[in-house]
Amino acid sequence: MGIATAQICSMKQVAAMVGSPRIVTGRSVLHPTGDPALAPEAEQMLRRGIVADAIRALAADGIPHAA
Amino acid sequence: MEPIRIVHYLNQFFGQLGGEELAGIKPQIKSEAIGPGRVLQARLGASFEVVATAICGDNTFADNPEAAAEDLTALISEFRPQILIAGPAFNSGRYGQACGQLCASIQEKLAIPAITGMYQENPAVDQFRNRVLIVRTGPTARTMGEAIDQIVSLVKRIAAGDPLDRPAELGCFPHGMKRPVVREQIAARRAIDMLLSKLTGQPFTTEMSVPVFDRVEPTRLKLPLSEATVALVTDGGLVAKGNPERMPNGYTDRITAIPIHGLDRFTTDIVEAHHGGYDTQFVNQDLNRLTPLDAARELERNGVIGKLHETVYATAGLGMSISNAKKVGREIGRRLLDQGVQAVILTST
Repeated sequence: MGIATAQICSMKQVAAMVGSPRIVTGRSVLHPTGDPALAPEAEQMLRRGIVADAIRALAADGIPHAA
Repeated sequence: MEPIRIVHYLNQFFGQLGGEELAGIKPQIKSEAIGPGRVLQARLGASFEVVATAICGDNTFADNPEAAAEDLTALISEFRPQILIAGPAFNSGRYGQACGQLCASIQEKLAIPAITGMYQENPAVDQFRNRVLIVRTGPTARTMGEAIDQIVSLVKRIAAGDPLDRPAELGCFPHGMKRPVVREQIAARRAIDMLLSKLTGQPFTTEMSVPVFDRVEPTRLKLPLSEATVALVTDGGLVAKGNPERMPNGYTDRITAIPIHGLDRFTTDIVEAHHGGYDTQFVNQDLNRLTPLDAARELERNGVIGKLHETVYATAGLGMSISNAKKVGREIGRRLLDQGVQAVILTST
């Protein structure tokens, strides 16, 4: 039972405090998986990297709630 | 006597600079009381002076809390305050984190007392209550008047040198500290008395209150990713174009279900972001910046994941109560389990 989750976010302290088991750093509160300041190809690379981090996190055990 | 010097901290909204479109403004300071600071000044009276108002955009702070707190602390120190008042932040997540972090930083760097106010469900309460005096407020700015009265009465006590080491008795969140007290009976005697009371059905009070946390054990993926069905979920307010499901842009217990069958990436004619808590202009130029459909499809094509689930679920995580968040999470989780999903990538704004 259950679903494995990975959370891409910028407010990492908040995510950790409420017990999110796999936290991946997003680019910004305003655009978690992109960046309008980058050229389209660079932005695509950035997004691939962030999603790849999330995929790697999903394959890991996850961190139990520490609070 | 010189009035006691106070610096007040506000976000861009309460600082009267603007709404979400200005949430990215840099730390700044003005040598006057602004907005709620004027009410503070009026109620504190002539023995206190709000000498400056420090302001920072919520996103600027949330994106790099340590740097923002450091910059603000430097700006604030020039006004030689004796007390810092931050907010109150009510139930606002980013603003609460900013107020808590700034109070902690000011106490540490300037060695002056700091005080803020928040609603009990603000995540920053648990993050900072052990080191920052946080007044209990209502959930929204509608309770500003009462919150300011509470803060004013505590600021007067701080100025008078009253010990404030039992915050729970002052209408604040407890620091969670223990203080030694002298009891007449030794512990063994008290324990036996408690046990006898319990056995005979008499009332008794435990000396050790155990906090109750809502813990969820991390779920492990039980099959290889290359065989798993992975779903994309977001709390950033993704809706089908025109919001046909009529999801509110915040303060909601509702979700949207967006079919992505046949789509290689999100385009602006299909979906949009509907969320009142952040400036959505950047994700509305390219919704893959919010929900990375294009990158996830590549992983599906390359066989890194077994299958991308054909529905994206979303909600608008703004001012969401914990009870609503649980309801939304359970509903999305139930549907995904029914639909055979094993893993989720959740993007949060």
